[in-house]
Amino acid sequence: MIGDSTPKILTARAGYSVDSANDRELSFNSDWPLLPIEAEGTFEVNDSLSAPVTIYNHGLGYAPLFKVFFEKDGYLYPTPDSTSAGLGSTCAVSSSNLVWRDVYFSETPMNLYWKIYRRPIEKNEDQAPYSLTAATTKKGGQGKIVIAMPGKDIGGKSPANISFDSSWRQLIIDSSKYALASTSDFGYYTLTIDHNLGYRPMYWAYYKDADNNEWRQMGSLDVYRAIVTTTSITWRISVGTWGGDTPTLALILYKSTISSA
Amino acid sequence: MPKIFDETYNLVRVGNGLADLDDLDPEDFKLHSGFIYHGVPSDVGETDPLEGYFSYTSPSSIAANTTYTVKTITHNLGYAPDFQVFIGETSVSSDTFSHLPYGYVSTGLYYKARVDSTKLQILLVNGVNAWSSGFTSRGYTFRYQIFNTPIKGHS
Repeated sequence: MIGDSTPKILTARAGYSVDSANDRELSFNSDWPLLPIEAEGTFEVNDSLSAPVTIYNHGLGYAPLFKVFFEKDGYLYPTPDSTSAGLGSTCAVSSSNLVWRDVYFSETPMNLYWKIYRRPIEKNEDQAPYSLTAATTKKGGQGKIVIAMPGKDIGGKSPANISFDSSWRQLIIDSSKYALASTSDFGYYTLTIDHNLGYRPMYWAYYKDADNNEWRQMGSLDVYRAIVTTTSITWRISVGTWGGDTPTLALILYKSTISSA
Repeated sequence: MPKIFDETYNLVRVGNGLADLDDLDPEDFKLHSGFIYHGVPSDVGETDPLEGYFSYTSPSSIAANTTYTVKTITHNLGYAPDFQVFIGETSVSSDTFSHLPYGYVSTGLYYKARVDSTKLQILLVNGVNAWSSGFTSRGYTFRYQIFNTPIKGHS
């Protein structure tokens, strides 16, 4: 935090000062990682395919964080979606590839849109505590740092071409952890991160497919959900519903609240 | 061209303070202008705020094969942006959260989110069963963020 004698670069979101901003009001702290997008693309699922199919050879040497959306009736939906509308959209990552791994179809052809991030799923990291006091708004004009994509103009109208804008809230990583799930909570496989943030943070969840060591996004069900408190987050999976061996799970926590704006 | 990270675009690089910038791997940079990062834009012509939080009570009866609109957020970005939505189940506990889509096992009842070039919609999608108890009149919270990055990628 400010005053810890460690040189750092700080930027605050619009309306806040780096002198008094808490961790959710900063848009950048050179001690903390952001989530860099490495690659993105499209993949069409159709009846001629037989899983698995390599969508993209990322060649990173580790299984990276990833996200996939599917398109239906002119809308884009996030995966994993285990309902009929989303069947056919399951993907996974290995240390070298993004792979389409579904065997069930509901809609075909179906377009998938994917992103791969330059960060391993298998990474344990925890940022040092920062000021967590309540927001202190500073009124008035404010400079900012804006970085546009290569060849794009920062004065353009579309935020799609902006790589980083210090006046915006950024998706800042607080911590991450992966491990073989605990079985100490009877009836559940669990993975816990003690974050001690003082608020309930957003998270992403993944699991490792024991059959091929690929990682997949974890779906959300009433038997697969998180207990998020101001000090810890525990992902809980019903043993009965899971059905397989004890899974390896991964969580990534962000410096944004899940229980307030 | 799937890869969008441009290692040669070195306009801004912030390292990790542990090694010379030229010795760092891309994963080590805290900021690199060759990457694109997810941000929640503001003052870009949006009709509704691009992040928010609200409470919701499910209907007192939920009809079969019916979709209910929980909320529509008009972003007006002109393209379908990346987003995330989390659901809190206040009727279960103040600590119970999931990301959308979220459903109840073997019920056909789901909360979903979808986006197009103008709006983000949060929906209650119900299958073949009608509900007059259990999932009705239940308290929920929703937290959403809409990002600058297009789901369909950069051309």
